[in-house]
Amino acid sequence: MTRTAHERPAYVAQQFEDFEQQTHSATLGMWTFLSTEILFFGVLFVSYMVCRTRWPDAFRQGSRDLILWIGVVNTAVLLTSSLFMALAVRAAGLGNQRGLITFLSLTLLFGLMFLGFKGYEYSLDVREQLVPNYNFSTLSPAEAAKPPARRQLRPAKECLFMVFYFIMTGFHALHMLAGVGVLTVLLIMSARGRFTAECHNPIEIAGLYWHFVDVVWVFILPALYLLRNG
Amino acid sequence: MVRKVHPIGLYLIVYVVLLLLLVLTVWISFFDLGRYANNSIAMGIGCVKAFLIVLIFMHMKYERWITWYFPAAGVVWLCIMIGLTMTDYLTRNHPPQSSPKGEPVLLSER
Amino acid sequence: MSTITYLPAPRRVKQLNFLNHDYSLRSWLLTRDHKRIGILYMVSITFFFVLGGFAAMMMRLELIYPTNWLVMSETYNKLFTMHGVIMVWFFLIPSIPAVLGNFLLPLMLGARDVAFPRLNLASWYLYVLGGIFTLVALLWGGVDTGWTFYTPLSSTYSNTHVVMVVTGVFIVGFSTIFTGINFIVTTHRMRCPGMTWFRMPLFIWGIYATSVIQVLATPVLAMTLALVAIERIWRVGIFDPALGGDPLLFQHLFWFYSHPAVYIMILPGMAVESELITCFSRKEPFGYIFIAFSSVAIAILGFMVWAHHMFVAGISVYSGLVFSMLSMIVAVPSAIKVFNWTATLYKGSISLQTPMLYALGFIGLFTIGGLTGVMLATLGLDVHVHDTYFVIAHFHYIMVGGMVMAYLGGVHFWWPKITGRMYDEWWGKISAIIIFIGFNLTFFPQFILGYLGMPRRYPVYPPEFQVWNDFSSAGASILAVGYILPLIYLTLSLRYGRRAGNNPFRATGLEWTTTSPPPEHNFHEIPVVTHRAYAYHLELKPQTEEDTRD
Repeated sequence: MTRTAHERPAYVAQQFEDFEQQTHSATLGMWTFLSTEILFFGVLFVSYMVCRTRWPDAFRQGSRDLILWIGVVNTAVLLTSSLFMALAVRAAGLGNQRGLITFLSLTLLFGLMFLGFKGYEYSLDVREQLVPNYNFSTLSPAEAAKPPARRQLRPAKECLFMVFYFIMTGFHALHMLAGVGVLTVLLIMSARGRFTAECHNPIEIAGLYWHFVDVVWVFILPALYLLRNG
Repeated sequence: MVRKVHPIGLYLIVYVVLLLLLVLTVWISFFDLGRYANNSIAMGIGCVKAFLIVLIFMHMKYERWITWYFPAAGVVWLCIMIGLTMTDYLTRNHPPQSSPKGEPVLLSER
Repeated sequence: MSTITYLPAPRRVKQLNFLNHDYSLRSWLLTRDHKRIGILYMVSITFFFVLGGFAAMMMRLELIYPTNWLVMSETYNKLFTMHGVIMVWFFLIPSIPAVLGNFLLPLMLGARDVAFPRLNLASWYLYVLGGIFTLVALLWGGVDTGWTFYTPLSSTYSNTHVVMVVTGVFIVGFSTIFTGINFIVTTHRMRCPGMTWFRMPLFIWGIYATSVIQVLATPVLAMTLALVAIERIWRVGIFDPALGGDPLLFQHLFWFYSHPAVYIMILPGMAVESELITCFSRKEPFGYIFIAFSSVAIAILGFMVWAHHMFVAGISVYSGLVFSMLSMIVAVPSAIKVFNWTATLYKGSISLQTPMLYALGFIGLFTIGGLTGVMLATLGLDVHVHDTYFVIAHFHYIMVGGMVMAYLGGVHFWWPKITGRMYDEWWGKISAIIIFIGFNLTFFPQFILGYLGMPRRYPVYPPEFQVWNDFSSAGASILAVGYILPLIYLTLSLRYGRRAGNNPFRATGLEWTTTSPPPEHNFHEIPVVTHRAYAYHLELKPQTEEDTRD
């Protein structure tokens, strides 16, 4: 070995020469993984784009039938959790243990809020009879209450839009769930004082993942919820 | 080695900007500007928001150039997938339900 | 032709190396050593190769007679599906990257291990888990959709265990992704002092390009298969025309992965080829930069040609034109490599040892496969030969005539480094020749069959095709012998083979400067590189006493 023991901190793994190499490698590794996620979700966006090109009217109607206010609130919640995550990383870099634990907890809280709103939204979708293969109906409850002459039916292809909605938001929610799991583990480790100003790389890496899940939602919102006119 | 710590103000500014962009994009969605305009503006604002998150929250602004190459590759490859797939779907005959936009005519139908 | 001179073996003092420092099962199953992980992969993929080969044997036996004499058509569907699934995902894709790449990448870069050793072990476990899912599906009756899982057969109408196999492939896809991430970060960040990008061996360039493809293409497969599973389980999906979906969308998404996947399969073979040709011509490669950049070009261009698998599936003609043109362009970097290897051979000091026989076979067979690929890229011709045996012959020339021969060549070349033993050279040469003959007898008649119009995936055919099918099946039996022989003599060499020194082939490359087998942490001292790779023009001065032992 070319390095003597005292030159090499314990938290530098055996295959690396120094800490900087280790942290940059971890960052590159996480960014490579996030690139795979870009393509993983990208498939859904490509398919959505293809189907939207084929059935623009049905998909526009589908966007209108989604519950917009929950989508917007969820976006704000997720952006806030991203802010707290960035502040948590900053606190870790400063060696501020209290700040780190506080901000991680807030991130986790807002992440769970997002999932809560999502679950509520899904329950509303069920009530609106928008769930494909379960209770999707071209006659929404609101229209069913009107006299038959004045009912407006949903286009049949809107079922396909709802398939996309559930698959895209479903995979996103799964990623959020994984993120929540990772953050919980990191919160416990932070509470035990495992991270210092010199060595807090896992927090940064988890931050990258969390922000990325936010970025995916930033694209899901306009694609699914906001293309309701034109 | 301690990594650079960033001022808290920058994060708060970006956060506020992101929320404003959110309001803007939702507001615009209520107007009918034609299909291409609506779609482009909505996804365009999404790109701006994503870029801000990547640049500031994910510290891309302070990383060395080689780190940029990784997500850039993902984005470029996604564009390849979208672009080349659409060469098929945009040049087929469209089914009658959608609004016509210059459907190509089969040679046999001329 | 040079002869090998053997110096008398000096008395051995037991050296600790990565194989003998700990014999326990736990040390193997919980290893973080990239070299041991490479060996774990080697054993696993050999098992799957035998399984996939068994399916092929059943198919070739069935095809001896024009009728369903051995298996029913439904069973035949399952045979070719499992042959494809196993050979593509459980043998070819992991073969060189996971076995030789894992073993050699850190050694060639002068590093102690890959960037993420635990992730590396996780890759292997994911591979095994994916394999288990697939094996269970096999035991429960297999899948009959073809390895291409075209909808709506796979998503709606098939009565076989599609979800089980699709899950297995999904899992093994993540094994590939993690390996790719590991190799990319290792290549970027863990080169030893003095090892710039253009001093790396060409093997690394090939593995790096492969890893880029793995990382960018496999997620697309993962999501596409997940969508098929969703459509199968919940009966709603985006590929169902009744709902407004498009079966062709599946094909676009599937081939967006699967075409780059074939480059995942061949680029490592080309990477090994560069090493073999240079060592056994005692020459540096002609046009190092061109070979290096052509690997990257193949990785990039390979993503833009996928719909050439769909020319007759219903894509628009304009789209077909675009993809046809791009498919012709993607042949150019491969051709550049072939020209450069040939130019490397010219005026080289060629020695026809076993790895070189495989390497020379590769050049010829890969060229035939590649040229027929350009033929297939031509729209007009493809209309006639799509879904015929012409296509099968084309890709087997590349996959088997190219990749498998490169894999065997690489295994033979680095066998002394990995195991510390030399195999029997005579048996090595005989096997290589048998494989070459058997391979050509098996697959060349298939070009003729395809051109005459015999469709692929059919167990019954018009009687006039029987003679060519019988040549092909006869060749397959010879090929099988050729593959079984290395299994035997390589295994025997572990016990009875002559002990190899550090550098029995007098090759350049950092892996040859350390002991055979290497110590657990690869190098006693991290090397410092001062000149470019392939310094065959300098007579290799040994750096320590050990290097003179042969």
